Amino acid sequence: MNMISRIVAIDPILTRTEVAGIVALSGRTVPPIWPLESAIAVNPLAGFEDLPFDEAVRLAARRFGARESLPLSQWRKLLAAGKIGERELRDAAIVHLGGLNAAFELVGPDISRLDLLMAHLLDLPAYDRDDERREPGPTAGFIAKWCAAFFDQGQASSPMPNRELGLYRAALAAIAYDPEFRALTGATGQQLLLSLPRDPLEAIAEGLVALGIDHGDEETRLAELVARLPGWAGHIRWRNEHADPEMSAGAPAGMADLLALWLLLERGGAAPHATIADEAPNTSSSLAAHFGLTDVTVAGLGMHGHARFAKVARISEGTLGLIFQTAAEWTYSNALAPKLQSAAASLPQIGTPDAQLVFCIDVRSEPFRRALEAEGRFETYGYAGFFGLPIALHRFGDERRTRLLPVLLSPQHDVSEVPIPGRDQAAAALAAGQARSRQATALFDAGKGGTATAFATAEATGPLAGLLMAARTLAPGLVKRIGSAFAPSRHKAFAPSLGHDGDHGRTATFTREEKLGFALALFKLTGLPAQTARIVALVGHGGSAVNNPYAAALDCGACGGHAGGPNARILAAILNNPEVRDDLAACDFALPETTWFLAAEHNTTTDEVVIFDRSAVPESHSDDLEHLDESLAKAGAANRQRRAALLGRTAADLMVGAVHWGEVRPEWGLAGNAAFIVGPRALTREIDLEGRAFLHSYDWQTDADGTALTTILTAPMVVAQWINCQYLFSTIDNDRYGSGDKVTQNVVGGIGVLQGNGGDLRVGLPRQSLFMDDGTPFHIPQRLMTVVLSPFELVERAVDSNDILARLFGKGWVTLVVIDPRTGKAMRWRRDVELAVHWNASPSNQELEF
Amino acid sequence: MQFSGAEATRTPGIPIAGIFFAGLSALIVWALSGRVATPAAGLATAIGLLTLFVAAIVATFSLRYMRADRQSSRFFVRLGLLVTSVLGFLFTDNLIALGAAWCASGWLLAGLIGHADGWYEASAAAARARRAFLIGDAVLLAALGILGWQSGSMQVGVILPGVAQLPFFAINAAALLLVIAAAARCAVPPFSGWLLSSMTAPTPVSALMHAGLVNAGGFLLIRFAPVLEAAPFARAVAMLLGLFGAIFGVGIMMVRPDIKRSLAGSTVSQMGFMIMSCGLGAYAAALWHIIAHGLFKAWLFLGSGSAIGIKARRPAVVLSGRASLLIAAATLGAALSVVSIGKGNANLIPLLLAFATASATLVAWLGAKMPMRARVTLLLALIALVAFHSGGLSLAGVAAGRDAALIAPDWAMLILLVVFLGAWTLQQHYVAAQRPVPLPLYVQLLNAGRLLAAPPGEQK
Repeated sequence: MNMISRIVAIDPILTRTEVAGIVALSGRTVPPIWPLESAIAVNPLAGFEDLPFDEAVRLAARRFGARESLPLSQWRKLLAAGKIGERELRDAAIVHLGGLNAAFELVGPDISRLDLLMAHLLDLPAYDRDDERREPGPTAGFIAKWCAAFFDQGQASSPMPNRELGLYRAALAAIAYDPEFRALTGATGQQLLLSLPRDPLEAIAEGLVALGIDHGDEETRLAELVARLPGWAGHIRWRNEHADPEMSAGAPAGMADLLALWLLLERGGAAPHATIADEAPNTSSSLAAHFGLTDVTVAGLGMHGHARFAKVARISEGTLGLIFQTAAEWTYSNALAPKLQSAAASLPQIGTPDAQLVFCIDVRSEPFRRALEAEGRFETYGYAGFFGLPIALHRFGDERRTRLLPVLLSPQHDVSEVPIPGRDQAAAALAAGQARSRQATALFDAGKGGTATAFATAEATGPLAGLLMAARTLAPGLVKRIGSAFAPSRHKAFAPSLGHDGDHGRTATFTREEKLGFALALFKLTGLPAQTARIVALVGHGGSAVNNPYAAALDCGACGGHAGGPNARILAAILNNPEVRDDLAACDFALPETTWFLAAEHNTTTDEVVIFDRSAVPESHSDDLEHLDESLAKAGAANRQRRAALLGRTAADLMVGAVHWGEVRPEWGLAGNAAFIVGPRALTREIDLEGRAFLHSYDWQTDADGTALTTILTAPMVVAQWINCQYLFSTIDNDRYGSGDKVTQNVVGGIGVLQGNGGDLRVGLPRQSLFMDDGTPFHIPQRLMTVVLSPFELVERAVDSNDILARLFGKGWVTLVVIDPRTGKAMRWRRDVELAVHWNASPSNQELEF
Repeated sequence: MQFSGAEATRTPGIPIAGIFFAGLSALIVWALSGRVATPAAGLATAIGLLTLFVAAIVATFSLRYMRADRQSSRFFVRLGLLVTSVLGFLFTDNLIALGAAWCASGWLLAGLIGHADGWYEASAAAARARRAFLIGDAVLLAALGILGWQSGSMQVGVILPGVAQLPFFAINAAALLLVIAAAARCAVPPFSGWLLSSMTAPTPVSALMHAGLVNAGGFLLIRFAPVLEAAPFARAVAMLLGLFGAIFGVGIMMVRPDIKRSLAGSTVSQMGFMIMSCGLGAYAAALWHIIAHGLFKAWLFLGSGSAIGIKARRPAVVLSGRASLLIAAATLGAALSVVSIGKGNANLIPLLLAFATASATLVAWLGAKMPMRARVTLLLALIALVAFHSGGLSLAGVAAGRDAALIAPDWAMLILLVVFLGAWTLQQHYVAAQRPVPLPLYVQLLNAGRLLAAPPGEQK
């Protein structure tokens, strides 16, 4: 009893409010993690973005127990494969050493500092352990177990008791019965359970004192705890900051709940997570040996020589990796920038096109657009794939709404999906089919979960399961065809409704002004001229994957991780509306009466394009439509062929993979992304960007005040940067920043995946999405390069007036290159300074100015 | 299906899948040719068909699924050896070969659970499986040793007919050891830990585990049925272990937040039921359960990637407490009337539980809201499933031969049934009232089989 009174006697120093503030700040060390059903790319280092990139990587690596860069052996493989230029690597090494003079300083006879560094980069044995998985440790495993039980959304038929009390209190109640807790904390833990405040903030205040954490260190210490389970912590952030409230109804949980649990375990004396500090290998002697030097000769290099030698020998593998990464970035930009610059000098003009097509900025649109342009006089544009509509869709028969907009925004309009007039029969059939499969699943679940019914359910459904299993494995295409023969396509029966809005009490249907606003935005942001072609198609996109937890990661990120068809359909309907056309004309955008707007969706896995609402297309445009159909099919075939080569498979096999339940890599997704190019298509039309560039159309001449440019850089580009960072970090440390191997993943709570039996909710992308079958990276980790074709002043103004841009460009998270269309000069944004460096200078000289 | 040439040369996956398909076809032809004369051959053929079928599907599935695996050759080779070893113990008549193949299959399975390199949890899970199998294997070898030594023969076909003449001690020891060996392989408590922590295995391995490996214990008990029939005590142990596993496993499944371990909980339950049926002597029912459940669970595991999606908390199908009570009462009434006319037999429990399942599903179907069209198609589907079930059961009867005479008196059978129905009614009551499981029990179920492994260098 004495022990208990001792523990009770702790006087917290901080008030609840102060603790709440510190908890909120420490929670920012992890980004919000979206559930995989609407997977969103986030930068796992978003909490470190106000630091310079190199520093952020180092700090985050320490905090998350992650690698700073790709293993050296992997970089060397990329170099050997020609993905990184040798000259660029040398340049990066020179810059690292502080310039030409410093690099060529001699360390010993005929050995310069650069020689030493190059040997270190290329020849010394690498100490990295490539495929090692880090274990969560017993304490983290314990907390993760209770997080999974608490946050489960419908996997367990019997939920965790006391969820309504919140994560912390529900867990307190449960762990009293958990022998694992006793094993971790012993008698102290049992006493703490009796005495601890039931309010998580008070418990944290008490815990901070009990653990003797100094005033001022609290935020860092708490952030370190948050970072031990970045997945569940990120889930908490998503739940509280980005999800609809019904998601957490009846089971509240904040970062404080998680931290209070951590502090309880720490106070109970649970073994802290031992981050295995990689011992810096002694490279000194192997470096010496490489140059035929003995320890004696090294010692005899003299004071300066020896210090120089030791300094190079001490460079960590993480830093070497960053040199490689810089080289990879320069290899890419040195190849691309001159091409863009010369294209800018003489922008080709093409005559009136047969059709104009507006695609999403997604990197997968670019090769398809090229293939389509080769099929005829087509003009293509890049625009954010949600087409500027901040909407949430209430799908017919779904209980929850689907957010079809970038996660930076919140839905302004709730759109209902309704049966298309005249297609009521098909709609009824679909609705019946939906009800049938829902009820069948429910009956099956009830049967297989019942103590008396589980056995007969398994016996009765077993033979059917065998048949289905064989069909889905051996003839998935046939299964799919049979399925679609019995059920009409959803888009032929239902359409998003503009007429009225669901009775959900949110902002009602679009007003006339709003419609005009959405219509105008398309023209203003992309530079699409008012003299439109006979057909303008708005092409959203989505992927297709079966039995794949990461299916939504292949969909449109701008549509919140969903296919973008509904947005395209709504904007097309708005633009075909005569009232909107009148209003547009009043704003100096008088469109030709012959223009018809089509909505379509590009399937990025199969390269098929579905055109929606064909029956609404006027008779007069049927020839145009037919021509477009043919061209889309040809372009699709060509692009499929190209992509098949990258995947090491046949084009026909891509079609099978799209419907096969065993396929782990239906497509490469956005792997390879490297650039974000803002300018007219004419700038890039003649350049093969290899599906590595986001393309946002932009015409500086129609953007005198730079509003459009600011929007493009602060919204779509930021999304692109998140994607870029997700791919980058998931690649350099797939175990910490990525979700690991798909074959051992285990879906948890309907939310995301674990590895194996438990542990943290996994973040980032799986190995199969980033690495080739032989284990070398397909995605080369490199930061985004943004290229803008616009006068310098315009860009300068946009960057200066936006903190986020100043940070991204200034701290080295994104490289900014501006090509001035009036002079043809290219400049590069220098860190924390202004636009200053000429692009044309040779890389060595140019980079020295950093 | 097409695969690029590079892949075809790099992995032995295609030839191994091909061999599985060829073996499956050969076995089908053999079975149809009418040369399956004995119950032993029928049993081996039935499970052999299941194993080869699932193996062929799993191998084909893995050609895509495992394509980026760094050790895909090792994976496919182990898969091939594993299936070979299963076929070995299924078809051999020799005690030594049976024991050797059985041990090899466990060893290979443990290796596949630890397939992922550089992952401490995987090696710990593999080691745990290996330990469980080691006990099971040792016990099995002891049982086979006793049988061989006492009968003076190494041929199962020779030993079994004369088993009733063996000394009391030998027969009881052998039977009990067989039951323990079966329980270890079937992950029936107290041996369920290895299965519940085997999620480090690649998904296809988990799927294959349910065809001919986890359920091999059932094969063992049916194959050596005469031994068990001569040892009522061992049968009673099998029944009780099985009963406990059946109910405990459902509890585990109910609370698990992740799909794979929830499926593993379900397997523990299903295997418990199957072992219980073997103890009862309902061999045909047990064999049919082995086959149907093998297909069912392999399908669910391969499809476990589809479990993403946040679901409504309240299940769409809810039986009211009263409805489940009525169904339970009707089932019990049926049992009483069968028993009262003296027709009690080993199959009673499986059949009556099937009856309860059908009634519960029909009642739920009646109560669910859906358009008429959907209602009719669902009913047709249910009828088809019932037909599948009875068809399969009678086929299994042909393959497995006769059932054993009951050891338990009728009232014991009724008590078993009451346990199942009572647990079910209680469970439905909790689900309908949205009441969680009592906390201490919840924690037990959530923790069952938890692998507490810390890599070397970390404390605790």
